[in-house]
Amino acid sequence: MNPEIVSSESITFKVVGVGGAGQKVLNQLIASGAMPGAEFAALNTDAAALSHCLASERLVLGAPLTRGLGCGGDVGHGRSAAETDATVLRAVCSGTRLVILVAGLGGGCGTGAAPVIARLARDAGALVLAIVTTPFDFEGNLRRFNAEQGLKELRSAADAVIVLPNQHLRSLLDDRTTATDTFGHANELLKQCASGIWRLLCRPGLLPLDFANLERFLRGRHAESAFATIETSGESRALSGVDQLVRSPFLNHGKALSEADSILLSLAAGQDLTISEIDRVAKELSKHCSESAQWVIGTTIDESLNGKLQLTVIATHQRGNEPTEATPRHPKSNSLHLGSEHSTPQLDGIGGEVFHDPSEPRPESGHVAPAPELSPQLKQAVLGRQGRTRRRKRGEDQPELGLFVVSRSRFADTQETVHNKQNLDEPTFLRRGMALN
Amino acid sequence: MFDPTSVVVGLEVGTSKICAVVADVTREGGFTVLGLGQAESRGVRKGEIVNPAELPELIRQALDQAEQMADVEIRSVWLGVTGAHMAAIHNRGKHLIASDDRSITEDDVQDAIRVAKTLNLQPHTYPLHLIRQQFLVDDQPGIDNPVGLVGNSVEADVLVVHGNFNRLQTSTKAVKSVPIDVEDVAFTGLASQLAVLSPEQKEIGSLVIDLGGGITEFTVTSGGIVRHAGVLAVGGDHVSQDIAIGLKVSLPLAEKLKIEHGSALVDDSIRGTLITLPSDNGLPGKTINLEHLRRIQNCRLEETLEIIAERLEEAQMFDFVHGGCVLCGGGAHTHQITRLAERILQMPVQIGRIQCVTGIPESLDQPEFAAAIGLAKYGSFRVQKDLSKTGRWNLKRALGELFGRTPS
Repeated sequence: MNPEIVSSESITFKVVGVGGAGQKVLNQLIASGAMPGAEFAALNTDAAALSHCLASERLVLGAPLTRGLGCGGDVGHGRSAAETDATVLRAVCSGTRLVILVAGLGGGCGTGAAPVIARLARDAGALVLAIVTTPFDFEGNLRRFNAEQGLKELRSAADAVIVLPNQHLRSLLDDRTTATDTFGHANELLKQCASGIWRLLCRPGLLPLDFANLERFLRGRHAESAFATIETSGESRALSGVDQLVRSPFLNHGKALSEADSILLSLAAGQDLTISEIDRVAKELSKHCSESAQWVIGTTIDESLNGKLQLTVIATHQRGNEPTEATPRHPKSNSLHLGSEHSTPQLDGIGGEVFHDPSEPRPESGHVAPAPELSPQLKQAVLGRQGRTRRRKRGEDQPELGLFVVSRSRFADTQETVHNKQNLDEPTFLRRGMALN
Repeated sequence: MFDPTSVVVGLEVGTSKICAVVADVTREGGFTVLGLGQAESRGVRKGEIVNPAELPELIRQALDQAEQMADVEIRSVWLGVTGAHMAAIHNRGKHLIASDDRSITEDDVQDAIRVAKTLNLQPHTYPLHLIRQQFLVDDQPGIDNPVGLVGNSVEADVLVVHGNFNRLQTSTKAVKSVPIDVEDVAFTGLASQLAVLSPEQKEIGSLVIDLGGGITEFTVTSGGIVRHAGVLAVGGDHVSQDIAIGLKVSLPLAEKLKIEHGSALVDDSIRGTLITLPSDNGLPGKTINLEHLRRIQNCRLEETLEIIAERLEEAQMFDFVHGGCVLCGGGAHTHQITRLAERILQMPVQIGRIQCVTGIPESLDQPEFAAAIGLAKYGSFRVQKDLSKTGRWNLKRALGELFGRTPS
């Protein structure tokens, strides 16, 4: 049906490094050879820095604007630099299905350009996953403010944002770590995160996580994700691994897990991985997560990891109440078609055509289609129906009572009995969803 | 007739009933129940007093009844306390031996226990019971009594049963306003265990679960020592409430249905059985499905026992339990509860009968009196300990003897 899916057996990846930090991470990624098969593109406003980059595709952003001298920490410059080169950027991002955007927020180029690139890449039809760092506290208020603004924009532009707060690194490293090492660690983490995602998709797996999984997991969520990866070995590696994960500052000491509404867990180990270990990891980890969280678990086998266990967790927390600037976009070519499709459902049953394919849930389109041409009769019918709904709405002021109203009358004066985040004062049969019929 | 000073009284102010037990203690360690009084309880939820206004009157009623039956006058009681705030933790306290010959004295042992007592306790938490588990001399474990041994350090492993100080005070205050003296308070879970376990069961390791009206307590006893204790603030009230919500009946009716038709298990044979409730007080009659009633009840009881099993598993207590489980409290009357518990706990389960007590009529040998009888027993142990320590009744008791009225 969809020629694109049939043709692209192997997923095309593009790792795009934006700004100084992104470019350094790219260098590390390329040098380590951790991601064979991926394409790399480095984008920077600073031409001199870019010349040190190993990436095959290098692009000086906004050359006429900044003359290749960088944007000096000005976010506005970074943004306009990316916008002037929009056509080139679109070309860079086209033809790939997953764009991993790597940037350090807080500076000019990364903060300003990354959201623009994310938006362009998504318009070009790619799934955009941004992996960004936020600055250390000592870098000052301005950079932090910039980073926050950038993050907000990025969240609405990219499909998913994984944030690695550098400040959390401080608690991992001791006081004697040199400044170079600390920044090195920050870049290393970005690198691990990017390669972790690559590993998730490309390594042969027992329970493989394919691109569709990731896409379903991320697409249109505008979510903020926390990422953590750890490697353990030894007898009780499953338990100690989970323990380390939960204590990881990148998961906010477990808070990110308990707040997450979807969790992607990937286990990588050698041939010696047992099913009970998988079971234990999943079970232990789920104790720290909310009941309603969606789970995706992938397992990959890697000979080089014999005796070790690598756990990677992406915990996604939907920011439902935050205004998002852009709605999820679809490829340009699709959006017109989609638009007309979305304007018709209200005509269901009175002659409107339905293009909607129920087997394939589609995210909403941002495109607002013009009003459809209607015959006078249809118009009458539609207007009549609108009138009816309005009248009904007015009558609905009185709220309906739920099927079961659980009063606390008997236990009104007492402390709630809570076990495993369940309020035991509520009837067990309700909590277990037992039907009485 | 009786030496009044050898009378101990256990008082349990429970969620569903208030129960007082009068017992006579002999110097040889005999324990005879003389009387028992009970009254319906009000203003207690989940084992804790939430509304003390009506309580003194009801407590008085229970004590009166016990006094009449035992033909003694009650001056003081051993009061049972429980509640969600209570818990038990395992602490280890270390004390370095300072003396030249490095021999361990009783004082050293007490010091080690004192260290263990307050370790890891939150502020406002009061250590109610200290139960010695074992001692370690120079890191060598498994010593029962280190006094007289030689070593550099002595460590004490202690099970500390603790509760919130203010909430413990609430109980004491309510009883004192009756007015009646409170000798001391004890955790009801420990008391139940004292009443229903035989010395053999205590030795080989037994689990006691007290299924109370508002709260469920559990203790593990092994080698004659209480190894673990815990509470879960879920009880018979929750079962009744679930039934009331699920079947849409009033709470008192739910309670009645639970007692008359309830069961811990759902048999296939009852499928489709209907119970017709007669109309009364102008309310129309109602037909309810017996299967629903039992499934609701089964759900709750299963969950409660599962949580207890989980907690014991976490504390690695199943290794200690070889003698099976004993159920007591009003919940032990539930039809087929032993079969449900056997399935979940994977051990033999029996309904508790009062052990090592004389003078108790058959009609009073009921699992729901275990806590109150156990409290009296706890009191008797303490009285005997005082006796053996001082060789005579203590001053307070002696004064009581002088100024108090002698019973008729």
